[in-house]
Amino acid sequence: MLSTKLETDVVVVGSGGAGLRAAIEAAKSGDVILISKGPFARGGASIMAGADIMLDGKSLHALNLGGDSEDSKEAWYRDILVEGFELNDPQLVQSYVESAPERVKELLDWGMNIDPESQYQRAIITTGFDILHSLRKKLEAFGVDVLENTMVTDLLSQDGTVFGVVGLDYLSGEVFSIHAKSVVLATGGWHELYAYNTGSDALTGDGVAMAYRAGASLTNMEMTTFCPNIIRFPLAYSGTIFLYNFPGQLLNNRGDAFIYWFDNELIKLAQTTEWNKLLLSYGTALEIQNKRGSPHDGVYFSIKHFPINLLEQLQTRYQWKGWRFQGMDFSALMERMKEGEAIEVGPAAHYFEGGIRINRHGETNLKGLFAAGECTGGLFGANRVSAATTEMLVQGAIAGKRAGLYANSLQHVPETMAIQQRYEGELTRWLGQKGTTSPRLLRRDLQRDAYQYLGVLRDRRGLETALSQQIRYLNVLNDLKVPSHRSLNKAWLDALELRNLVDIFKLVARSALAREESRGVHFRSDRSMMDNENWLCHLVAHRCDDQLVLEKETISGVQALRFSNHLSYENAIREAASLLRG
Amino acid sequence: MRIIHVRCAIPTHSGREKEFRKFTVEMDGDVSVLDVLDHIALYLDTEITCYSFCRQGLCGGCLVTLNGKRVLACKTLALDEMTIDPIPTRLEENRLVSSRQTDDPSEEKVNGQQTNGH
Repeated sequence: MLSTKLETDVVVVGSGGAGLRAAIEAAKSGDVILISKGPFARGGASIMAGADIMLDGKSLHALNLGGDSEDSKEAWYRDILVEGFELNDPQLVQSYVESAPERVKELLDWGMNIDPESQYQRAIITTGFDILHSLRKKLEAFGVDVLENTMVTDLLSQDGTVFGVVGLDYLSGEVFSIHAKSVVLATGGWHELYAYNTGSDALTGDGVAMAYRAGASLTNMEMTTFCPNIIRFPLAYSGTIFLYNFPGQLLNNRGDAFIYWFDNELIKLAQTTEWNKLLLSYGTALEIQNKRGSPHDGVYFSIKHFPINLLEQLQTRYQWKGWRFQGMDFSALMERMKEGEAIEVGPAAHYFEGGIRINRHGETNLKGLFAAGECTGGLFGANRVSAATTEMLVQGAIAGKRAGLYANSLQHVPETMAIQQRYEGELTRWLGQKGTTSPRLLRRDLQRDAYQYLGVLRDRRGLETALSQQIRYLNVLNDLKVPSHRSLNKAWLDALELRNLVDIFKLVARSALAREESRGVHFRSDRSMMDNENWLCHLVAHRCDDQLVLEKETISGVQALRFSNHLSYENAIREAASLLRG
Repeated sequence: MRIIHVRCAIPTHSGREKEFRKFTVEMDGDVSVLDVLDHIALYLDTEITCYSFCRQGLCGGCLVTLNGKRVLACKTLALDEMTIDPIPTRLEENRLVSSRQTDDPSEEKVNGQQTNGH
């Protein structure tokens, strides 16, 4: 089996915010190879961020960019724990809150564009594009090697130590291995698990799946944030976030503004705070479940009663050129909406609170393996409200630094040809597979099942059905139809991504089935109370002898319980709101 | 519903001439070029290949040639008659890219259409 072999000190997998920041840090102490599956720095979710970067109000005030001199790191720390329904890993929240100001300040020093007009208590406003642009410019100074259009498919590991990666350059079809003293995974979320998602097509949970296969621990895989108001139809605009923060009415198929069936407190939370993701997704999903949804699995968004002059002010406030938002032109859609047409929208998988388990140094339980950003779990507990942009920067810097230090402390890298060949074999086994199912069709079916059974509203029966479906997918993985040419073989890439999605599907389903309560973004209609007596703990998954093992782990360092012991799902949210207020 | 006629190239392998295949598809509502390619790849011909990532005109990853012009498939609305080459020649090179050489020809186009939305 011929393959290219490279050697370096640190491999960083993923070129979004976390990967770029990690590479910058690691490059200060050694050689780095940064690997991007898609277009460099643009293939994941970071490029699509709005974006706000958060830090505590007092530190923001000290930067003369708004903020709040009465605020503190301690107050923000406490808020994040309340938002996460106390399922957060306190150490990760600690380092998040501690390092945020430093990470924001350096971006400003590196020349990042921000919107100086927007003054918030705990956030500066910029865009994903601007963040990545600053990081890229900084990275260029370090001469880091970048591999683009390259999918890392497995970690090279032995006896609990990781010593490199194996992957595929899918343009040429060349298989390669990189021997490295340490690896940083910054691969983002697994949006593509779901039929409706706001992520890039490349976000197939590669890092989480690889880490799992290599024996790493994962945590809270049941926690998925859905974003509401994501366009469902027309297809040309589907998956876009344009209407998320747009003023308008959500209606079911009878024209009812169903959100007003909730009480005032929840309505206010849903309409005026970052809790809107959780609450509107929940409310929307209930409508759809009760057969009051729209033909394309959504509800309706209408601006019929919104005054035209206020609409125009919106454009000015957001500095939009016409109705161009991010890379798309929504003018045609806006015309139809202004004429009174309601557009189909619905919840879409948006962010993943769970992922690879790390400590506050970005270390996993495998030697030589580090992780940062959305692919890690624990920081946001059961519900993310604070900024993921801050997460990627803080954790990227920490993991990169630690990976660099670890690499320097290592004398040599184990040389194991047998392991390398085995993983390369795993990679090539799909090439030319003469099965009957196209990988795209399998992916579509898996995504539909994930959305139905592992979505906003879950229950035991649905989760058990999902698990039996997963066994079917595993079998179909052996019956895929993949052409045999090496170069530009998308079906081969699709198969490799499917391999990861099938693993992640099981991790999410098993975790969601195990957590017998409802907390934050995890809602079980058959277990709709929040149960602090039995479930205020992390759900940690790892692979043992080919089996998925789930364990409850008490959260170390959690102070006095703030939430009552047994609360209904909605009362838990109300209690969180009142804890935040006061 | 509307009828769309597509001539689509499949990737060139080992120096062969590009082969174009014809498809007729029925699509519902406003669809992008990428939506049409996905539909063909999913239901009609698994060899039709188009890489895609952000699906909203930000990353430049879905650059195709449409009726002779280079466009981003995800944000370009489909025409009733289209000749598409989904794999522009630039992508058919394999190289180790140093981060100093950010030489993406689509970058200008993508940058030029950046609007700072929140």
